[in-house]
Amino acid sequence: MLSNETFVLIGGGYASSRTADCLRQEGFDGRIVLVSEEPHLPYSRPPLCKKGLVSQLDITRLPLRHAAFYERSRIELMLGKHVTGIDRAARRVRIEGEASLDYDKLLIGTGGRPRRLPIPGNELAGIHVIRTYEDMVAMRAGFAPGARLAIIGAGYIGLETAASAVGAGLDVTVIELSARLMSRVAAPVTSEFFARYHLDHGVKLMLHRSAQGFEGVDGRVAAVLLDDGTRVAADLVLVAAGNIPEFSLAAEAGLTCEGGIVVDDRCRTSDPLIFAAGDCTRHPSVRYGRRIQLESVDNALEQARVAAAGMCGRKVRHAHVPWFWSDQYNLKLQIVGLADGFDEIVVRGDPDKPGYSIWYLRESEVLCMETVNNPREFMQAGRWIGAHAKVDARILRDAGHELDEAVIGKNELLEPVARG
Amino acid sequence: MTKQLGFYLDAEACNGCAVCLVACKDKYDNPVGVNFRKVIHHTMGSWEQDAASPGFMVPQISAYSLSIACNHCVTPVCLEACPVAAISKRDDGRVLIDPEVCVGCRLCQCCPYDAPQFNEALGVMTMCDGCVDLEGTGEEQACVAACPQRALEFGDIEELRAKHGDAVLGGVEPLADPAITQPSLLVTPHRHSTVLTGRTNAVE
Repeated sequence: MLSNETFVLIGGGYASSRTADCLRQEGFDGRIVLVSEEPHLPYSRPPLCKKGLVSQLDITRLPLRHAAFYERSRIELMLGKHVTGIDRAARRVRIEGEASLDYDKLLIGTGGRPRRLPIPGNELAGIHVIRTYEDMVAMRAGFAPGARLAIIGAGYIGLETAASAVGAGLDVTVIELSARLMSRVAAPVTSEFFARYHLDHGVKLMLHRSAQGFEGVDGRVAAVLLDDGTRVAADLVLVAAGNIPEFSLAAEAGLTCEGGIVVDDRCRTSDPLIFAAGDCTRHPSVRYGRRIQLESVDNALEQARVAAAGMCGRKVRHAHVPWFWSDQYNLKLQIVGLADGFDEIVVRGDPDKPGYSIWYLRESEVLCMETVNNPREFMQAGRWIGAHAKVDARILRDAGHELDEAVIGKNELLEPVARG
Repeated sequence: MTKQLGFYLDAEACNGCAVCLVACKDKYDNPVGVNFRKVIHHTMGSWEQDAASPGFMVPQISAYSLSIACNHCVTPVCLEACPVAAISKRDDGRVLIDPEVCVGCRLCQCCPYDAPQFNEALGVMTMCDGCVDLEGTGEEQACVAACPQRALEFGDIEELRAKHGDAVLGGVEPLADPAITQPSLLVTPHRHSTVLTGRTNAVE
């Protein structure tokens, strides 16, 4: 596809870098410019709250693709550059301190930013969030054995950080608003399983509690104050209370936004020349028949694939089965599919031990599955969900039976989970 | 870890013929574009003042080839990047991808040596496994056996190091800094190579 067009990609995360990659795979031969606020090559974020905090892990081990890839693929990188606006009429992106950049098509992959709590004392030193490499380096400076770390939020990032920190000898307290861990994403069985694991490793869990303020000494955080009057003494605080989609650039340019950039099933925004992918979007799922917002690596990669195809004029729809994971201690939680609308939950295996799996069914069809340290059954579940396979819950429940025996009828349409 | 297998390459002997690549591709029946082994042709040079004829510039150029597959690194970045734990490091040091577990997300393409290769038809990543099927047979790896220059060897990295005293671990232009992943790749550098300095590749 010989082209003298210029495609500009805003953002330096998974969505933007994978779009660049997929554009070349689609055969796009024109100019690709990736503009990122961060001064680094697009890099892997999951290690930031795990190995990054407890080792001297540096940025050289984190790039999603190495410099040679971008050179070879003729992807121009503008790193450490701030996009100040999108002029849709002129098809132009304004960049601070640089000449404006004309585009033929544009991708917005601006991701999100961690939610900060609007409570008294939130400006004190020692209160951290974690999203970027610099966030990690700043927090790592306070990681010393015996230091008291209070984590607000028991989602993936909060709990992964808790596992890393307690392993490094910190005194860890997790404060969670809801009554159980990972309540937004996992079943109660899984919440209990992980709660036991964290307690056994010495993490203190304070559930059904909200942080009302921070207490400081000489400008540094000294404690978190809870709604019931409890004072949790802390040398270091991590606020892991979710992600806010970063879509201000799109909103200012007049693109339709509803808590995220609204895209169609081909990742097009309300401007046909502008596409968006990743955490910053709200997209209609062909599979789930409604508009959803997913904050995951998998979703960013899949939307990037769909967007790249669309930017090249090829009609690929976003019909993917989403998947998620979390690494805590030596446990790998894996979830595939979305559970809403289920009418039956089946627990397979011993829920006290790694290897169990939880299956969400609707009229026997598998909608979602979550498991700990069982990647093979996770893969099988993904194939079944993709193929709308139905299972016999009685056989599924009995781990004495091979998993294959549970499927009702042979389905020739079984497809690998990662293919859309 | 008791052992670390790896490759040895004599870059003085390698002439870039790519028979290694073809033998590998043939053995694994890989489709077009999927190459477990690659041959990098590295060229360099500049214009210099001719000492014999002042005022005249002469080209000083050189070129050499490097045959590279998975370096079964001591600290592999692919393994850390894999979200589903499909990549493991065996006791013999081999880094292997389990195709039954791989979801095909391609995040292991963070490898600075481009070792993991996406097989579109299979929907999974594939990679050099050091011809693990030949283990115990005494046969040489497909690439090693095919090399007409006898420039390649595969084996215990400490034994290879003892045998090739002039070899360096990984750090030859234009390869990535060996400090990143500690590749199990010994190279006798071409006489025109720039050797990168990195951490030594200690086997733990």
